[in-house]
Amino acid sequence: MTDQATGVAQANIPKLRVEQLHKSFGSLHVVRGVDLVVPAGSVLSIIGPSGSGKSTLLRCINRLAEPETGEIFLDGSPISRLRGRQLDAVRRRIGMVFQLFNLFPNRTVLDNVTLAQCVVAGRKRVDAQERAMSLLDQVGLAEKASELPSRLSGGQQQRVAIARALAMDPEVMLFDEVTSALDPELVKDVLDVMRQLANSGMTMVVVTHEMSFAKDVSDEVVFMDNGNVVEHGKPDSVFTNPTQERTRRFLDRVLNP
Amino acid sequence: MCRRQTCFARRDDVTQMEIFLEHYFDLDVMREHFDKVLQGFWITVQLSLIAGVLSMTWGLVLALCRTTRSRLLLPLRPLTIAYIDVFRGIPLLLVVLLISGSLPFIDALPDWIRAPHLLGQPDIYWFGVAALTITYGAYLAEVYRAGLEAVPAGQMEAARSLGMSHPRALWHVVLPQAVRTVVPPLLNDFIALMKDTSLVQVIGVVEVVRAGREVQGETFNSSALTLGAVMFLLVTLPLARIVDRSLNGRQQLSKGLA
Repeated sequence: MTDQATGVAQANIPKLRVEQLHKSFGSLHVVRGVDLVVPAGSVLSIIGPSGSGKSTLLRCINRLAEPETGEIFLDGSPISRLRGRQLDAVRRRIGMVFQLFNLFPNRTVLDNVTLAQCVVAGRKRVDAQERAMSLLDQVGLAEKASELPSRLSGGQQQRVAIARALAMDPEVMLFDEVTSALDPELVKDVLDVMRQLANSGMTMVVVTHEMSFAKDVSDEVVFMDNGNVVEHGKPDSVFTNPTQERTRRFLDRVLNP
Repeated sequence: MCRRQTCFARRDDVTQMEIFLEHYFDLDVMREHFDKVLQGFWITVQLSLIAGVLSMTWGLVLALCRTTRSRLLLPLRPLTIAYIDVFRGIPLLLVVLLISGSLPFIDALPDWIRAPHLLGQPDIYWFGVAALTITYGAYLAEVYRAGLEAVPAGQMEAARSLGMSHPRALWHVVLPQAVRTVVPPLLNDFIALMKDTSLVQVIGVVEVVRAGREVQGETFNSSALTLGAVMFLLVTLPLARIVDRSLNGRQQLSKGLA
């Protein structure tokens, strides 16, 4: 019955929807009324200059930043006013990967991926480790399971962070400039994992400066500037034929530096 | 006493250095009163350990109240800040006197507070423990707070994004990391606490300094106090070395991370 219900829900209701979201830090109005629609299984890339509110918007979606007004719907249910356990439960359904990885430095790679499974999902240790090993294998790091994060390269750490988020079986994955802190030659491995994930049908929101990734992998691209969505559309049209002058200038600058 | 008389008899032919040594390093005095001083030191160690454990626990509670974001505990925050400010700002000796001087006369209080007699120790002993815990709890709260704040905010965010509640994220992710930064300063404060147990003698607890002082009064010789100092150093010097080593180790760890 629930299957049927979600089946119907998936047919009509996007996995994630953001409606007129506003967020300020003091007098700084960072997100100014943003609308987003992310259908299940699609990839949305958010591009734009630094300080345009992309990351804040992303952090509002899983409530690491508190939205002021507006609403966020996950499977059609509003989540912007949830608190306590309900909020924790929603966060479990939304995986997040951070620019600076944020791995737990005092725990091994394996423990990083198992901790929340045991503590939050209540899985048995052996089951959690089995799941962790299969995910680490998927991101190509099974042999690093017993290392501490400090022994890994940035790219490897970021792939562990992706495995850690996936271990909670999220329905949506948020990526916050996940390759910005990486040496150029390490970026590809991380993007490959993300491509793989997109192909497997994961719903993804990706804040990124990797224009080729945004162009090749996403189903929709949003260009943000100054807290507003300036332009959105299929990657082909946004990248090759932007309608807004601001978008054109931005793309010109990042694509032909 | 007899040593002292011989000392006077031979006054002319002893050097000033010998007089000095006799006053501070008289092995006979040390030997004769060794048991008393050792008993006192045992009390010092007990006070340090009991008040040490209690103040570390109390300090952690205070630090968590002070840094809490929970709406339930939020009213405690200003109270905690006031508590920490007050007890960091007044002398331990004053707290000792405040507690021991008047608590026994406040009839409204239950007996275990007014006149505690636990583990075969008298009330003054427990008043001392209470004063040390109250004061050092305030110091240690600040140490813990610094440790908690030294853990990058991204750690809490990562834990929350995985669905952990705030208390769980604190317990499983933030605290284990904070403890590492906090161990050296905690040990430093433990050394300070151990030395400050000597203040409890003013209300009659015969810890090592009081024991040494009593011998000094009897013999007009300070060697028992020297003996007490040696006993202190046997504990505090290794602890200080441990602090140094753990600081070095941490530097290496953070270099490795960079």
